Amino acid sequence: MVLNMLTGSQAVAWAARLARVDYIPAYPITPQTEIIEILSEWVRKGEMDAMFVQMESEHSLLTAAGTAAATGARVFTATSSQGLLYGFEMLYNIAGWRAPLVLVNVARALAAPITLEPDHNDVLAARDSGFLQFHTENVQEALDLVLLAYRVAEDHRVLLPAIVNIDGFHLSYTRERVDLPEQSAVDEFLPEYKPVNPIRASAPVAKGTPVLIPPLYSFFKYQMHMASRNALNVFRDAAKEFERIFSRTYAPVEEYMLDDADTVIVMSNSFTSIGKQAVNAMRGEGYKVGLLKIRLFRPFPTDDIIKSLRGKRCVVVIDQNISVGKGGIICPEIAEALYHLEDRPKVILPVIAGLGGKSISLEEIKHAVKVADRLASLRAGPDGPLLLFREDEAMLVESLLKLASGG
Amino acid sequence: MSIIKYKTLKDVPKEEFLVSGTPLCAGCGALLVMRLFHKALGGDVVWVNAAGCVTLMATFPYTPLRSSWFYVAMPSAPAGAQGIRDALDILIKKGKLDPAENLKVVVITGDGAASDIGLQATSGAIHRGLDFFYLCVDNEAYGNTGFQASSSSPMGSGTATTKPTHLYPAGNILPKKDLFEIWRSHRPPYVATISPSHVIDMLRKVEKSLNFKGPKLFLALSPCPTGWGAETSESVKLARLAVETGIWPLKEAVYGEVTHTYIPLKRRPVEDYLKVQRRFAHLFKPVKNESVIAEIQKQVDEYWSKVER
Amino acid sequence: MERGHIFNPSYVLVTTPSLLFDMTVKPLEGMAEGSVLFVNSPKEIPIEQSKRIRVIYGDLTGLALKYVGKDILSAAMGAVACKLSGLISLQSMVGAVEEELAELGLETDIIEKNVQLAKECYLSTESVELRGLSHKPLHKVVEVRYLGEKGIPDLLSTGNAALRKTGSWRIFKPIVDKNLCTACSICYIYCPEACISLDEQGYPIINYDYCKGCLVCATECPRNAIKAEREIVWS
Repeated sequence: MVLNMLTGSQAVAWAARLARVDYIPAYPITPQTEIIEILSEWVRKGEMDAMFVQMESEHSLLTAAGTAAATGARVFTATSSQGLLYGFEMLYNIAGWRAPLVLVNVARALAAPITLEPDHNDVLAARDSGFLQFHTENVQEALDLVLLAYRVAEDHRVLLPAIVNIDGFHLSYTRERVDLPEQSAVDEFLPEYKPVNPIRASAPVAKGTPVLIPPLYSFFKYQMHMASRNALNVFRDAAKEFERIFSRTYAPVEEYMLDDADTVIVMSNSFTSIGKQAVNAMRGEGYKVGLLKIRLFRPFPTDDIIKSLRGKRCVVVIDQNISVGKGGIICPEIAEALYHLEDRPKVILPVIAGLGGKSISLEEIKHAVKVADRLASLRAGPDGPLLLFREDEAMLVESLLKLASGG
Repeated sequence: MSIIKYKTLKDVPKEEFLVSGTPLCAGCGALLVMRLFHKALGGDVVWVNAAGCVTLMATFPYTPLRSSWFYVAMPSAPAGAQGIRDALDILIKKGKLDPAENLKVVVITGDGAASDIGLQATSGAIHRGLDFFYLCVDNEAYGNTGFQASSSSPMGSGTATTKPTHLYPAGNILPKKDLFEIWRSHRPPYVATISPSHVIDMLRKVEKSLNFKGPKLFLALSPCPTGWGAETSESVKLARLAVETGIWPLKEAVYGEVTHTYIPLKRRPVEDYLKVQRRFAHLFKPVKNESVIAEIQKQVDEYWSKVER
Repeated sequence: MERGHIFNPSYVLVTTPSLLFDMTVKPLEGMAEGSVLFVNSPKEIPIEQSKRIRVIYGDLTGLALKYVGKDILSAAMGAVACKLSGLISLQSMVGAVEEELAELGLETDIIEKNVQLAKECYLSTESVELRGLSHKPLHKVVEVRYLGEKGIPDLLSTGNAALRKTGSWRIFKPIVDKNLCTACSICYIYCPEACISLDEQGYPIINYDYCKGCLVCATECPRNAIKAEREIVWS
C-alpha cells in the first residue's frame, strides 16, 4: 500500500496512466489544467505510452475523443464548466455513438457571471445526454471512480461514455492522502478495451448516420436508456471486484449515520465532507440526523435511494446547483423516487447552497434541518427551495454592491 | 514527383466505391466529384462528414459506400478525423492493431461547414499537420437546408437569404471567401482546386497528393442544379464553363507555392456562365445589371492578370 | 383535428408510384374501406390491397410537362386534393396557387402556367365526399427488447444502397444509339450515380434500376449518341 499526498488532478491523471489509456485530447480550462499538464509531461518523457494532442477548442476535443473511442482507442479527457458547455452537443453524440470513454469534469460554476469556484450546474446539465455520471467526495474516490468508470463504460452490456466529476479547487487543487494502486492490480481489474464495430480497413462500417424514421430513433434511444439502467448491475459487479482487489467499497450511494436518523441530509461531491461534519456536530447536540451521499447519478440509483430514505421523517436535499425558476435539480429526482411509498418521508425540503463555491456553515445546515423539522410538525410542505445565505455574507454583498455602483 | 497513372480518360480507374442508390439530387455535382475522387484514392478510406447535402448519402439503414463513413457534427469534421487518425496510429504503434487495417482519413464537407462553422476545426487540424485529406464540395451555399447563403456564395448570386430585391438588386453583396488562400496560408503540403469537368486534372492532383504526409486539401466546384437553378443535365457543362470563364481557377499549392494546372487561353466572358443559372437571373431580367456583371468580370480579369503563364 | 401522422386517412395522394411499394412509407396503412387513393400515373398499377379502397389515377406528370414544361407537381397535387375532398372551390384553389407561387418570386407567366395546370387538374378530377368512415383500431402496445450490442446504430452492410431503386425517379430515359457510339467512355465517367458500366468492347450499359434520368450523359456525349425518351411508367 503506497500512500501519497495527491491533488485531485494528479489522482485522475494517475488513474488514466494506470488504466493504460491510448489517447488524450486536451484543451486547457481552469481548474482542469493541471490534469493535462501532468499527462502531457508523462507522454513527452515516454513514461506513458499514449498520444497526447492539444485541440483548438472543447468542441473539437470532444469530437476527437469520441471518434477515437469509436475507432478502438481507450480515451481519457477532461474539461470543465464553459468548456463542457461549448462542446455540449458532442456529449449527446458520443453517447449516441455508444463510444465508451472517460471524461473528468472539474466542476466549476457557470457564467454569467463568470467565476471559477465549483458548483454542479455544469455536470448536471449533461444528465440527459446518455453519459454515465459519477460524483466524487475526495481524492481517493476521484482516482478509484475513474478506474471503475472505464470498467463499467466499456462493458458490452453498457457501452456508454462516463463522466467522473471532481469539484474544482476543493478536489482538483487540494492534496489528500491517496492509496496509489499498483499497475499489476489495475491490469487485473481493467481488461483491455474491446470495441464494437471499430473502424478498420477489413470491416467497413458507417457510423453516426442520420436515422430519419421516428420509431427507429425512439428505439435507439430506448436502447441507450436500457444500457444505462444495466450499468447499475454492472457497477455493482465491478465494485465487488474492486473491493476484492483494492479493499475499498463503492456503492451507488453512501450512508452516513443513517440507521436511527429522523432527518437525512442528501448531498453529493466534495462538500459532502462538510455535511458529514455538520452531522457529527448536530449529533453531539442531540439531533438524530444522518447523511446520504449520491455517488452514482446516472443511471439514477432509484432502489438505493428508496432503501436509504424510506421511513425517515425528513429529508433535506442540498442541491449545489440551481435550475433558475424552479430550484435544485437533484431534489425532484429524489422526490419522484419516494412518491409512491406508503412510508415516504413527511417532508422533502429542497435547499440551495454552495452556488459558485459559496461555503456552507454549520449554522446554515442546522437551519435547514430545523426548517424541515418544523414543517413536518405542522404537516406542511415547503413553499419553494430554501436559499441558504448568511448575515456576514449579506453585509459583504452590500458593501461590494455599493462599491460597484459608486454610491 | 512524376504523375504516372493518369494521362487520358481511358486511365480512369474502373472500380466503383460509391454504388448507385443514393438519395442525392439527379445531376448532383458533389456526388460526381466524390465518386471520381474515391476512384483515385482507392477503397481503404474512412470518410468523416459534417452536416451538408452529402450527409444524406448514408442514412440508416442504407449506405452507398463500400468504404467506411463517420458523420460527426457540423463544426468538427476535421476534429473527428483527428480522433480517428490518432487512434489508428497509436493502436498500430502499441501493437494493438494490424497495420493492414490502416485507412486513409478523408474529411468531406460542403462549403458551409468548410468556410463558416468548421473553419476553426479545419485551421486546428491543418496547423497540427494532421495526416488527412479534405474534400470540400463547394456548391456555393448551404444546399441541404434550402440553399441559404454561405460565406462561399459569390457576389451577385441569389440564395434563399440573399434574394434580389429593389433594395438589394445584386442579391448577395458579400464576396466569396477565398478558402484556398486561407488553407494555403497554413503552408500545408498540398492544396488544390478541382472541377468535375476536368477529370484527368483531378485524378492527377489526388495522385500527386498521395506523396505527402500531412494535410492534403481539395476545393471542388460542385454544380448544384437544385440550388443554382439549372437543368440536371448541365452540371458538368456548368463546371467546364466556370473553368473556361476563369471564374474557377484550376491550381495547386505545394507547401504554399502556387502553380496553375490549367490556364484558359482565351477566357470566355463571365456572362456566358451567369446567364444560364437561375441564381443569377436577376442580373439579366427584368433589366440587365451591367454594373454587377462588369464587377464580376473585373474581379476575374484582375485575378488572371497576376497569374504567370 | 389531426396533428402529425394521420393514422386513419380518408384520402391519400401519391405523387410517385414507387412509394406504394416502399416499406418505410406504406401509404395504404390505416385506410378504411371506401377511402380514396389517388395515384399520379396515366395507367393502372397493380396495387395489392385487401380492403375496398377506391383507386383514382391521373397523369399529373404528363399535364405538368404539357403546361409548365417541368415535372413540378405541387400546384397539380394541391388542385387534386382540393377537388377530391369537395371542400375547396376552384376560385379559392386558384387564389392559393397564385399567392403561394408569388411568394416564391416566380415570374407572372410561370405562375399563369401553373394556374392553368391546376385548373385542368381540378376540373378533370372527380369529387368523392367521404364522411363517417368506420375506423378500426390498428395498434398494439408492446415492450421494447434490449438488444445489447445489436442495438447500436452502426451500419455494417456497406454498399447496400443498391437496395434502393432510384430509377423510379426518372421521367426521361437516356437511350444509347450503338450506331453513333464510339465507346469513348465519357458517359461512364460523368454519370454521378455510377449507373453506367462498360462492356468488354467498352460500350456503355445503363442500369435503369438506378438511373435518375439526369441526362448528364446525353449532354456530355461528344457524338450526340444518347437520346432522351419520355418514360410513362416505372415498373
